[in-house]
Amino acid sequence: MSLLVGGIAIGAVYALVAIGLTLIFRATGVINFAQGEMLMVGAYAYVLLHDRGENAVFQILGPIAAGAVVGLIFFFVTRILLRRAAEITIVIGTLAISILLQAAARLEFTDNPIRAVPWLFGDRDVSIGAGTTVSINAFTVVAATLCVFALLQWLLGSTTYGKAMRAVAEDARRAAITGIPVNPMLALSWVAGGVLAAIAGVLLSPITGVFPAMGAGVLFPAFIAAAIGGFESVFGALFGGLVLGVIQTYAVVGVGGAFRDGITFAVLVAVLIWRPQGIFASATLRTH
Amino acid sequence: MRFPFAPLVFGTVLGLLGIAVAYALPSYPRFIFGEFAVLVIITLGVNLLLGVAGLLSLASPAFVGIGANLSTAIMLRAHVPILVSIPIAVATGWCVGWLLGFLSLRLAGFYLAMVTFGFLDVFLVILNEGGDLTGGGYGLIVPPSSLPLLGPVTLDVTIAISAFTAGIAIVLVREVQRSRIGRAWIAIKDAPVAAEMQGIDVAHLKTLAFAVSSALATLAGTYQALLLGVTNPSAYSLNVSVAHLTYAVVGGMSASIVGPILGPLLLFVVPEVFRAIGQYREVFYGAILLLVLVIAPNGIAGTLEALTQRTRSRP
Repeated sequence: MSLLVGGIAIGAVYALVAIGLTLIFRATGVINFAQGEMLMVGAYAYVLLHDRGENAVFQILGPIAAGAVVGLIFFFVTRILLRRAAEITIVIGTLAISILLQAAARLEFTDNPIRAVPWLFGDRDVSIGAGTTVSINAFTVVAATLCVFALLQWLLGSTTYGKAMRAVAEDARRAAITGIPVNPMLALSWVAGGVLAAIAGVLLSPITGVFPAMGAGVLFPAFIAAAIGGFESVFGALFGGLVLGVIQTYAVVGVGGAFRDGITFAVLVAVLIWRPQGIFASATLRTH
Repeated sequence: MRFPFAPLVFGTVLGLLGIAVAYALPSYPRFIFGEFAVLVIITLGVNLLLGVAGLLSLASPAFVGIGANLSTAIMLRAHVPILVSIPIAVATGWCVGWLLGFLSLRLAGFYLAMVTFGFLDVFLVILNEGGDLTGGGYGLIVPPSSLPLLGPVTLDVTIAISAFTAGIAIVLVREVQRSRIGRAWIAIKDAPVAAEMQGIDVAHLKTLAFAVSSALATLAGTYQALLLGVTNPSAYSLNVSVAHLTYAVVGGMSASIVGPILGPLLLFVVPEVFRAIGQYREVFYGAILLLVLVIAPNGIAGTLEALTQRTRSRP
């Protein structure tokens, strides 16, 4: 039981990163290889604010602001600096920023993980019956992820901004003709991706500790979660993340931690063979 | 009419030139030059797959690792000479690459990247968990070996062989890329449907591109093991695969042969020359990469081509 909760919690982190990947890919056609570094920035922002003794609101607003700023930087580099480059060049561009961010974090904080205290409720365990206890952070993670998901669905589905963002994602040129400012909407997509990753960083930091390469390890599972959603469906990414987290957790217990990545890979291959376009995507072949 | 052996002669000359440069250098720069030669061989393969055939694979370090580990393991276990172990490793690399290409036929673009990334990840798990066979997290120590005529394979001999092979590989890959097969790869990249209508066997050629590229990386891997003396798994991580990609992209991702030489030169040798900056090396690397991408979005080779065309078209 505590395994299941733990799996869902780690899955929720994957889901947040995967939703960010999906949003950015849908809007810009770029797979952001630096999504993990956005997460890392959020995690460091959280730890620094927490250790300075700021209150819980600032502790979460700080990382969100940091994520938004990083998102804007990515928008600037991919859309302004590299506007005439081929898709692969832009992807390598995101890699370049991720290298820079990781290197900067390494210079500033070294490779040693910083221990982080869970947000809001601190280090506390709760009993879930039958004598088993779970860290309360697991529930914080799941609740936060569901809140973010619900908020995002509302923003994308019911507000003018959300509709404009979706229109730009669907067809930037026609969106421009109807008077939607394309570049600000793309910037908004990057910011949303950055904020989601930063929140994921806050939630992940007590589980793994905070270190420069922490985001890189989350990227591959998040890719797979996004692939389950076909890089198209936000709900698919959420679902994919949660399922993958649970599968991974049980696999680690079942066959050992060393084979976790192998299991993850097996899930990916299974999904791609079964439905190459993603489980929740419409049946068109993706050739991006 | 072309002289039929011209490429071979050209390749030999280029290879001998490489050896000459290596021997003119003092000992540490010579070692860097050896590593550079190995990277050129790898980048030729990566560029062939990505720049010529348009297939984005992240698995190149896995093949470098296969080359390094397999040839070393064969030498350690079966006590065969290096002249046998390297061809076995390269043939295995070719076959595994062919298989990976075959399995990936259904996938395009980033999905292919993810599956190849997963392949690399699984390979690293095998290396780390392989016990005595792979040396686990430390890797294997390369045993001393010798070659007929050249005698014991010292570091200098390895560097010379790497430089010579890089010269030959540059010319051979250039020939392949200019051949029917190479033009078919470009056709598959630029217009897959049209290529198929022309009668090009797309599936076969894609798997072939994987096989050739993997074989080059495997060959480079066998040299790399000799250069470094160990086969530590950290030499085949995702970061390495990203580095290989950036070499190809900065070089120019085209059928031009200048790219695979300039990419490693700029992103490996230049940061190595400025080694004194120490801890800022990574930042420096990232900055060079971003700068090149912004200044030359089509890579250095692409920009050079555009420049020469502009000067040519002037009256």
